[in-house]
Amino acid sequence: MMQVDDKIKAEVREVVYDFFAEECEIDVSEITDDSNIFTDLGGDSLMFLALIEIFTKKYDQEIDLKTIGKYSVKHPVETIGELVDMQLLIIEHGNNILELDR
Amino acid sequence: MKTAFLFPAFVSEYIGTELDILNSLSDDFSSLKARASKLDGIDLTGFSLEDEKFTGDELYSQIITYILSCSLSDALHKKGIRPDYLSGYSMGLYASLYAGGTVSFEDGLLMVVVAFALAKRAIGESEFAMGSLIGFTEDELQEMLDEGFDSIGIANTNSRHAHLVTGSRGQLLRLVEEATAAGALHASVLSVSVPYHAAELKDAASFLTDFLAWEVDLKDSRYPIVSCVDQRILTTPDEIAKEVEETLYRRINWMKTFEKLCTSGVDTFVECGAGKSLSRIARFLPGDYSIYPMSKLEKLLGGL
Repeated sequence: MMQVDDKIKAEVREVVYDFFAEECEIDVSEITDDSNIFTDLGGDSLMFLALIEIFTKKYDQEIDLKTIGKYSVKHPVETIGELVDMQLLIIEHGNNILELDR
Repeated sequence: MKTAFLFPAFVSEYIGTELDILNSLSDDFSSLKARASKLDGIDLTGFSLEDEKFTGDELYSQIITYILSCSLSDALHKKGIRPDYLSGYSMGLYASLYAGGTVSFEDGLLMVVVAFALAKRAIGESEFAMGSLIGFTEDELQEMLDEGFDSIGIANTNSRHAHLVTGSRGQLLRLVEEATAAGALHASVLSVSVPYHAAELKDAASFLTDFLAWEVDLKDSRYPIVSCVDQRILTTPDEIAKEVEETLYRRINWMKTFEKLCTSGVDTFVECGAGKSLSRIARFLPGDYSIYPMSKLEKLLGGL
């Protein structure tokens, strides 16, 4: 289990915001935690995969995508804030993320 | 520095400013739209990217994608941007043939229409579909298919964890359900009724080859085309005719096609068409390159 401190929280938030600003070709100031990834930003599922890959490389983790997929079914993400929270949980708990539901 | 023009298949998500961008580059779009409207059965009166009548229709979405791709290819040529390679994603092949001078604009458009009609005839009243699955490797997906989906096949591999599947609609709906439960990050049915890249279209592909032989004067391509099916380099009419046939019913592999272009020295990709689906897929494909969807062409043109 990885310790998630304030520095990591800030990094993850910044990466997610910058990623969506770049991908959706909008200014980062137009994105908020409440922005809906699909209806407000025109995002798609490939973006989830891209972010998971970015963070697994950044924090040197080995993540089983199917585990994340199973967690996502129970905890669907729609907003940027929810996505940041999920990424932090993935970083903190890795492949044990499903244990959170037990 | 080598450049490749990549041609999307049928666009389902537009960036919304395609026509503004094209019209700012040249008048090719208006000109080609007018030529397309002269073909029997094609009515583009009142065309708009916001009109579902055009963008929501399975055939018209392919026609519009073809016209937009050909327009951009022409406009870029006039701006002095020439490709070293071409490659079409699935049915994007037809626009790549136009860009290479293999077919006239009208013949390419006719190929889009005839291929669709032959495919529809081949499947008759049976219900088919295609689906998108994200989160499984090819081996994991194939294992799942082997265990209970005998009428579903992998149609395309976009990246290590993103694939398209094709086959009977009933099994595909069940696959989406089971894949989601098994941990797919995304599983959905696409809004197409034709099972492109499935064996069910083999006869249709054969008829398409006959149509090419009788009706279309294929020429050598001015630029080498990388096959989406087996990544061969194509230039001659015979090679191209075979590719047109095989693309309809055989599995394609976009990831390998992209890799082939990279190993051939390409470091600049232009997504030659509407939307930016190919640029999004490229996020997962390794290599040291730049890719420009239509919305970022200004950067490419400004750098010349």
